[in-house]
Amino acid sequence: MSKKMIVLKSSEGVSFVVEEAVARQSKIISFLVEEFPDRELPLTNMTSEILRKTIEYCKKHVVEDDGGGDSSSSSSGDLKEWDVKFVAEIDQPRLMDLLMAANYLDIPSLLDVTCQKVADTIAACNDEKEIRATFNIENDFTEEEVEAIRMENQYPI
Amino acid sequence: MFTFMDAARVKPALSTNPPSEVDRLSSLTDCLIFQIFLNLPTKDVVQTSALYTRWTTLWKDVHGLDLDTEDFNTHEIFVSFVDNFLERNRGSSIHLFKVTYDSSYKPDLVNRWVDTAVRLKVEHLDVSDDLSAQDIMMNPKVYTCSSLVSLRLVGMSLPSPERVSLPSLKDIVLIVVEYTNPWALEKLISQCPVLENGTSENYLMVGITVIARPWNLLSSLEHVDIERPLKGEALGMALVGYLLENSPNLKKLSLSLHDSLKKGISVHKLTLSLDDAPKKEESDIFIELLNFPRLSCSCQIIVR
Repeated sequence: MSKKMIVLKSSEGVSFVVEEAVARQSKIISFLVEEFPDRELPLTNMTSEILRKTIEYCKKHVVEDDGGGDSSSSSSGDLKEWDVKFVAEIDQPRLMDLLMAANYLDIPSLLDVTCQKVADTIAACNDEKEIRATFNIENDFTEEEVEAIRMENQYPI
Repeated sequence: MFTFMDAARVKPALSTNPPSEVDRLSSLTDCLIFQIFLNLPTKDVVQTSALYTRWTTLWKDVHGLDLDTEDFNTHEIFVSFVDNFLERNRGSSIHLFKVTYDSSYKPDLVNRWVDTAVRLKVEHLDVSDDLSAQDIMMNPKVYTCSSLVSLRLVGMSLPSPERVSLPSLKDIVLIVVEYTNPWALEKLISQCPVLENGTSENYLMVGITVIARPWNLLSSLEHVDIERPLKGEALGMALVGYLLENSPNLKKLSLSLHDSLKKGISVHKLTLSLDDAPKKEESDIFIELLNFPRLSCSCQIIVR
């Protein structure tokens, strides 16, 4: 039995042909496929690079329902390891793009792993200066203001 | 509802600046920021308040707490921090309540906190006693917390479960936990429908002090991690043997050996698979481990 394919189009106009089961992990795409069957779906705020990464994730996580129950090729432990490696290989700006893509397309598990990775990146910083440097945050506080916020927020040491 | 029009209106995430120079964190919605914050220890969340003007008080709206008493200079500040968190969330529900505390200071505090957390429909409850003295008897209200998805307890005693209703509980982790009655764990686990049906999400850690036999759980059990180092005493070995002999789907059992058993570097990081024959040089405990019959033929024993 041939699998049903759908076409997703990135912001650069590049088309990606994807198995419907893979793409349906996005709740938004799942909804669109039902509303607009047999139509190319334009994802105007996703670059080809991020769309390719998102599809790679969805391909790995697809659970094929062929009547035989859960036939996913990977065990949950393997999947978790794969997820860790998947986000570890992405640089910080692209990780943020991927997080926003997971949110935009409504893919809860991808949103979870990207949020976790961003949290880990923040936790690995020693102070807010390092967080600023890592995420390219402009400092609009003076040293005194930072100190005042610290005092006010009953800072744990 | 999402439509094509909406899709077209959303601004493309493209910028004239090189991607590495764009601050994407500032453009996240509060909802996404909270999701990131829920994965962070609270002390790191508080640290972010000095990043953006908008974030100055944002950390106070996070429905999760992950705090260690060691992050504070005094017990009093730690306690008031936790109390303030619970007070702020009065009337809402909380996602995570995770505290590591020292029971030598006001031991009754933790049960008051758990009481409030249960009332606030906590989803993930994680309470560790630094002392691991098992002096604290857990609040029995935890057995009827219908919102609870994961439960992790370290270093305390569990009361006999008279009434259990944990319809959402998927993960249970009990480390160095003492039971007031030997069948407490079996009764507890048999009353958790989601845990019992055993999706592969379940991950159970048991302390060696567990004497109960969780019959219902074993068929879904895939990974066991024994936290407390094995000394080779009868009870500890009996638990390992019991798990190996009765778990049909067990894939991995991790354990570590107590320092008193370690003779050389060779015992570190050793993986024993089923077909490894015991060698003379290996200590008695390895031979004993290898000789346990295993119901699951794909089961590995990992010695950390």
